[in-house]
Amino acid sequence: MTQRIIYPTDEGGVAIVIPSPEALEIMTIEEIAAKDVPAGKPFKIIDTADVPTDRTFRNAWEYAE
Amino acid sequence: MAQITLNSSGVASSGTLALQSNGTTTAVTIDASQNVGVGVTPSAWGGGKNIQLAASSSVVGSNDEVYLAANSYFNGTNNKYIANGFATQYSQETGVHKWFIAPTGTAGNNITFTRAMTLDASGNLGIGVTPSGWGSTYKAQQIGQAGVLSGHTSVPAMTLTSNAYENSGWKAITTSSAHRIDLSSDNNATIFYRAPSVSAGSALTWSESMRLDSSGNLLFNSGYGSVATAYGCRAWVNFNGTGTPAIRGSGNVSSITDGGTGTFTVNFTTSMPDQNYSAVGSAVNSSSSLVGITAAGGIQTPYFEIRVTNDAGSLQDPNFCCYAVFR
Repeated sequence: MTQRIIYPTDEGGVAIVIPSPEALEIMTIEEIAAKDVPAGKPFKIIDTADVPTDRTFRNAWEYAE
Repeated sequence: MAQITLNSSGVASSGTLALQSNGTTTAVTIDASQNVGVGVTPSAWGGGKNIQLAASSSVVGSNDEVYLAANSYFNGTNNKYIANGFATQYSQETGVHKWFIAPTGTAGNNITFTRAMTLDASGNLGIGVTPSGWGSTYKAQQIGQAGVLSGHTSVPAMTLTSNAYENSGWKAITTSSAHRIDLSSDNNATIFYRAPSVSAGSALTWSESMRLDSSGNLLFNSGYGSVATAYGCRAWVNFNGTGTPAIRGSGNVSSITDGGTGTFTVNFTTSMPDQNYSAVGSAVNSSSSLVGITAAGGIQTPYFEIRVTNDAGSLQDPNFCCYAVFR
């Protein structure tokens, strides 16, 4: 099961980090999060299936604590 | 008790001199041809003078040559096996050292020796070949027909060549093209050369084809017209930004970040050394015309931000976004 990393943006939205297959061969998703999530930002690791596929209102998505 | 006899019977009929020890055990035999056997009766040697040790080891002298032989003797016409098995030979002849090998054979049969190695009078070594006529600039180890590892005699440099030897310039060993790699501490570079085919012994004309310079830059001519530094792609990615965005393929990209409609960040696995790199990309959306891709001022060493827009300038998700970074 693939996973994504989410964190809140400065504008109040949510950013979704999509790890590359090549990176997952040499790093854990936690290590990718530590590297690619801006410092100081809270983040969560979620299943890809939990990310909406309808992006019509993508900019209205929010990060839930 | 020890004694010297004219032969084993104590008579001189055969012309053989035998030194006996431990009773009547013959320790040393000197035959009528002045060949000496220690613990063995000498084989029927011809040519030079020989000291044969035990059953089949010999030292042979002939004019200015000396041979060390195992399981072989020379009868004046042919080399022959003394016993069943392998035979080898080492010789020093007019300043040249030669090592010979032969397959296993039967006692008394002729031996066909193959010269396995030669150290010529100039100190060049040939393995499976007689070294070419090298000059004094290099000391060489020539392997097989035309493979050579050589070292310069006056500067710290080593050269690996195929079909080339140096003697007042580089020349072809056989009629063929030639290749050369210089590992030079003298100019702190590794340089690759090639030369078109010429006849054996003719001068080679080298063209530089690749160089690793003193700064670690790789320079080569891959249709550029000259040897020049090759600036490689430092990162690339092909991703789908629609539906559930996903990366199709990448190099040196740890992830992309979906920041909103048409807004993505490419995160490098290994950061760029500075922000002065060049990035190029293209994007397309299947439901509309080609969309543009612009940098958004987010050029950073660990990542690069992109915005994908349609012809009207509105942000739009691409289903194909391809991106590459050069530096």
